[in-house]
Amino acid sequence: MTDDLKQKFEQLVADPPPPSTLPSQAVFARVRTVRRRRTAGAVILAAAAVVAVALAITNVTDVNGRPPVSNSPSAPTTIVTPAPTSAVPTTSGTTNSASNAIHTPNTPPPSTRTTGNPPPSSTSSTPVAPPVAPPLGVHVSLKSTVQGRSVTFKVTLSGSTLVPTGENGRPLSTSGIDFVDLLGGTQYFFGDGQQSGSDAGAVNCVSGTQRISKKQTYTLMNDSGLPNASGTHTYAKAGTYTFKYTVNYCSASGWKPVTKTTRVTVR
Amino acid sequence: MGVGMDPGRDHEFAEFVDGRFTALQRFGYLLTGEWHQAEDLVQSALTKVWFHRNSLRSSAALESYTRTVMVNTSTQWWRRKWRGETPTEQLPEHRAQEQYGSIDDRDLLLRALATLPRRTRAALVLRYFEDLPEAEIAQIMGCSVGTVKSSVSRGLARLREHELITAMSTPVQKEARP
Repeated sequence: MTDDLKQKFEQLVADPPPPSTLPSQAVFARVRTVRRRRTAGAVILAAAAVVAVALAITNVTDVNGRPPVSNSPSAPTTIVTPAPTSAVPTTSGTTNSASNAIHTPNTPPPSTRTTGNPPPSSTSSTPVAPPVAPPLGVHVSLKSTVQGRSVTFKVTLSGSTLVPTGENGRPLSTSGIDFVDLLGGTQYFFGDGQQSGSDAGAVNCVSGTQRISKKQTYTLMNDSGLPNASGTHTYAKAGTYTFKYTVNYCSASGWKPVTKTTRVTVR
Repeated sequence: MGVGMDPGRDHEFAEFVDGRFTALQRFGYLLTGEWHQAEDLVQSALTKVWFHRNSLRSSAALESYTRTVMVNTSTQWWRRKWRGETPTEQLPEHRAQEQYGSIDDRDLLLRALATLPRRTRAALVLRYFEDLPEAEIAQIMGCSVGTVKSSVSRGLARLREHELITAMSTPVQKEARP
């Protein structure tokens, strides 16, 4: 069998077509394209950083040149007067500093002003709780579209996972990578005895790596790898079938499967 | 015409690419089952390898690393499942022939290989086409020798139970090429 296999392999690749261009030139052309993309990416990143810094700087001072948030005792207190509730002629909706707003005859009585004023804490900085990381887990939703006996399955994956590590022990790159490629492979059963899936490849789930949250919707391919692979699965007989989809995500305690099933009826 | 800062290294790399491209393309064909995808796979892999060429001192290391990248890239392509369109120069005509049972050996083997998981397929090709020892296959695939052994064993078992391979194993009289 093995000798036969080697012979068949040799026959299979006996007449390769000539390369479309000189191979080294084609590879160098690709290298130049990749380098241009990387450079463009770096420029965009730098521009985004500049914009972020500029926004941060402009947020420090308001239109009057004062810091929008101040806790210093000597700083003027901002009081926002509400709409007038009495017949006293007032200037409504004005913003004044505490030094003259309280004693101005045009302002409403203190009691009215007090109820309309925001609490002092609203103008001072409040302690901001650190952002809570979303819990690890993947939510799967399945949508099937039936046309006769052919069914198309769309899968939506959303949630958070630890980033798996590659062969070199480092976490996989997450930029421009589909969510499903950061998970530990999939397996699906069409309910009629046929199944398919995707291999996670040489990746490992290691506790302590960075986590990532993503969402992705894609159409399942049946007969993967075959020349006639398509996005639909065709059932041989009419009936109701249970389609089962399992995906593994990287949790703190290793790969964890998430399974979702749906029933499809074909006629 | 190189693209790096070191023309000498670029020249060496270009020599390696031009010299080994056909062999790598054959390997790629057995991984993908399609010549144009094989060429695309080799070029993609060599592009990735170019960025790491300075850490690969010998030609053997360069080729071994290229095969590693090819196996991983092919697996990644398969996982992404975006092979909705298959590049081809001519419209396939073999479908009509198949209906009448006239299937040629190559198509049979390709179909049988296509039913295998990607890494199992890669292990089989490295073992029985490239004739590499299991230790080297393990290095290329980034796994243990035991994993290689079990992958190859499982792959062979799957091929044996495949009805297409059963048909293929019967001797076929090939016509002599002119």
